[in-house]
Amino acid sequence: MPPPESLSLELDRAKVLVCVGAGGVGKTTTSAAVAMEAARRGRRVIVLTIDPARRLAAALGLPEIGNQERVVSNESFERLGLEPPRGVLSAMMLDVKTSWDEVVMKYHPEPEAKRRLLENRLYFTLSTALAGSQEYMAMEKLYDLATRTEDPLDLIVLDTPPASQAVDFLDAPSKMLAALDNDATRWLLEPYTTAGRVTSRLFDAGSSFVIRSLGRLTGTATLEELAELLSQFQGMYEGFRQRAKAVRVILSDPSTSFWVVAAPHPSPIETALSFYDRLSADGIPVGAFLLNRAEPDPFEHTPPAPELLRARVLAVGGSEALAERWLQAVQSSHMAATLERERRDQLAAKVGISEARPVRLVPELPVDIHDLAGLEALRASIFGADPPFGEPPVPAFRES
Amino acid sequence: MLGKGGVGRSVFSAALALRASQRGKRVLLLEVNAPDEAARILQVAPAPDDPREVLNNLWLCRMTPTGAMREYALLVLKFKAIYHIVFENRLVKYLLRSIPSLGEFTMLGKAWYHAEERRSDGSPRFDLVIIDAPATGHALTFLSGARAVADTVPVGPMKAAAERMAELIEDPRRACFHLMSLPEEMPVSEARDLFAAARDRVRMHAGLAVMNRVRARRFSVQDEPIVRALAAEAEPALLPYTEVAVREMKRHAARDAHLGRFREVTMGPLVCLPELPTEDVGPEELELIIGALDEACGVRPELETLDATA
Repeated sequence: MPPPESLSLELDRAKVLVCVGAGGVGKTTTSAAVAMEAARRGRRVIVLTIDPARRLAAALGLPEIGNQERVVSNESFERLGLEPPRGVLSAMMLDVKTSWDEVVMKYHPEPEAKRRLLENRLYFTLSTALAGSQEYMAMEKLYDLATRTEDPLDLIVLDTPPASQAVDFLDAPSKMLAALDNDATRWLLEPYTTAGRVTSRLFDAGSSFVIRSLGRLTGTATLEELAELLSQFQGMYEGFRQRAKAVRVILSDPSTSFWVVAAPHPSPIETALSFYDRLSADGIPVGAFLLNRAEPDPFEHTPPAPELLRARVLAVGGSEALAERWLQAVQSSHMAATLERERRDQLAAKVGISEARPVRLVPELPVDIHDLAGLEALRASIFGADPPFGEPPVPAFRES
Repeated sequence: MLGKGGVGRSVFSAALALRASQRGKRVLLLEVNAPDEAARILQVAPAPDDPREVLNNLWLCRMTPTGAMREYALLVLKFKAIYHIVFENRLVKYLLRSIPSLGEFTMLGKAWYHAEERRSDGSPRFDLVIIDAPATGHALTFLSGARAVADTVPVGPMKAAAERMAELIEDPRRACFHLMSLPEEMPVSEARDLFAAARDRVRMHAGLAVMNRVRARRFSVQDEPIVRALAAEAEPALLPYTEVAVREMKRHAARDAHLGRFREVTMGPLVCLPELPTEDVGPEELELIIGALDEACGVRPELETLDATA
């Protein structure tokens, strides 16, 4: 049975914390709340989010979050009567297009090719639409942040793009690199001289039947533009590969913790398990499972008192029917909470619960999170006490 | 069928297809979003790459970028042998994968092809083609695919096809999008953005606005004073009851606020779907959804909107 602090211990241990999970389970907000706890514990922390979440900006008291880091000021906390964190909390949002531009600007070795690349018509779509582009850029940003020497960070909390299957996040960057740089592109781009000018094989007068047939589908001009784009990327691949490798090292480091965010319902739990399996296959342990929006159990601290309710409802002028509906509502809330605890215990049994791997139900908050106070409430909810595993919350008497 | 991931597009698409087919329409449901999901919901065999009639008047077809590309290529190249020589080529496979939006574009092309497809007597093969589109970002890439190709690809066969597809998408008499969301903050915010993007960027006509998982009200407005009176008494033994009731009332209020924000931007009839007792949707749950659909659409005017979407 893990003490409540185990989650905080896991947090203290981490230098990089990656939140993974399906969409729609509150991953972005959870990432921010977790980062806030780390800042409260005195660390210099940044939360890097993927979603264009204007609401997260508002929740952090920031006018907006962009590709530039923004620090949450102490005044933002004080304005709402909250104690500012001992550490420092900042946020940054990944803008895929801007990030591509930054990487090209920073790492492209040849000024002329760089300029033509940024102007290529297909570059914009390629940089934003290429599968894995977002995940790849998240890695580039992670590399940037992890290796930065000015104002070094104690913790980077990374909110990953929603994924329904396995951990696309881990596979996507290598897939994207393979799409840009492989035997086919190398053959295609091998310098080839025709009529005195260096060109790609694609435009060779004797270009193959295969290429001509393909041209009938797409138009040859498209192929030419694509080849040009790929040639302009030349010289960057080695850097891409090196940084991707460096990030893999960071992600496999014991100081990196993966937290799976889900909800206590069958399909999100199934997704959570698939994340767990995929990470385990890579030898990466899961640091914590957070099951968000759990139903608070009405009978956690107080036993049922149906007759008293019935009497009081009638006493203040309510109807028998209202009392009945009321009892039903509370009963179904209790049943939902019980079911969710069972699901949590089943998940814990499957993943082998230990102190180092808390599986936690996070009760649903009564309000939407739209400011620092809401985020603070979520933080307290995540890191607050959790009922012990495998036991009912209160050995209350059973309803007949 | 547009919406954020996890809002229930596949289930609603299946219900919509079933309802329209029951009304005698020849319906094709194209699955882009979740392959085999519709087959599971309708309890029929998984769909192949070609439309198959799985229920009376209801055809099902899975759409993948590779499958759609293959069909398109066969259409252009005419001969299977040539297709094999060209498409088994590694370089070609590679090039096809790297042309941005090509996958989405060919899938859209397939949808367009079936929408225009004629039987031997000249009548349309399908009266209604429903696309269970991918989640938000991908859906926009998918729908903008035609315009993107028409605008960025140099002259060629693709450009010509793209222009005709874009015409279909932008024609309010022939195409519309239904938008689905949940009565929660983020899904509604995203739905609002998606609505604007689909209408202004994709230039598509708006159809139904669908709100999923709308919880039934447990406490009516008349109940509230009594609930509040008991909550104010703060009797410790009644805390489980007052807490649940106050929470429920807050949820109602939040739900109404989210519905309001959804309605602020969306147009067209609103369909509210009930919270289903199970995640495992089968015929019974489909009936519930169809009931809500019929109710929301009144007698018929809205289904006529659907009918316009050939």
